[in-house]
Amino acid sequence: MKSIIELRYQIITLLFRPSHWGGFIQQLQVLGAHSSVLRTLQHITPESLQQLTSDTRRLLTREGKTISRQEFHAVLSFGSLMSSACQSHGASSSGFWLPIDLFLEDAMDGSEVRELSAIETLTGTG
Amino acid sequence: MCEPGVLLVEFVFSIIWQLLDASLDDERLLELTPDKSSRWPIRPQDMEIDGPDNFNEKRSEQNEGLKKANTAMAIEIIAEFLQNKVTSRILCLARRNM
Repeated sequence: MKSIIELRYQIITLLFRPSHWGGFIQQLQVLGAHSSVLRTLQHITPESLQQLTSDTRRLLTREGKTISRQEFHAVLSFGSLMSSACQSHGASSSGFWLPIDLFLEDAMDGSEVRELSAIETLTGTG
Repeated sequence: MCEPGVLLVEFVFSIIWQLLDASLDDERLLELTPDKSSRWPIRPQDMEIDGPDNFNEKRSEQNEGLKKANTAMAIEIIAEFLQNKVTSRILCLARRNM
């Protein structure tokens, strides 16, 4: 008998499968191309929204196999943010699941995190 | 097994997507999308204003203005979510981990 939490986790992973990212991006593109309300706004233009959309598409699709050192550090710093938030609430150290998953995923598909020893980076001596 | 990270990702991503679908629906643009409809329950329920002065034109002009302002705010929030450093990193991490 699955707990509600387990079921919910399954729903989340189903809902956010990579096949859904395309739909999200396309909807953003429709909004950018056709929204009349968007054209009344002062701080966003259709062009800037289209730029944001392609930036987001680049984030969400696996266009580059390797990630830059900056991106890797961004992932790590977010991971340690989550980790300290979790630990302060007495939860498990789930904050590191993000960067470690990333490392394992890259290791399995043969691409490399560029030039860095992952151990050194994770332990902060890199 | 309830990872706080997963819940956070779900929250952020579902908010953006619901705002996106609702804005598209406001402007009758959903039919231009591949899905043609929303995966979220975005139709307002029980929000039809049926009052005695339902046929007052000024009132419905006002409503139209309010609806447009609503949509405008939704689009601004979507844009903010996409460019904000923290939330855009969350989207990136969601993609990498799912």
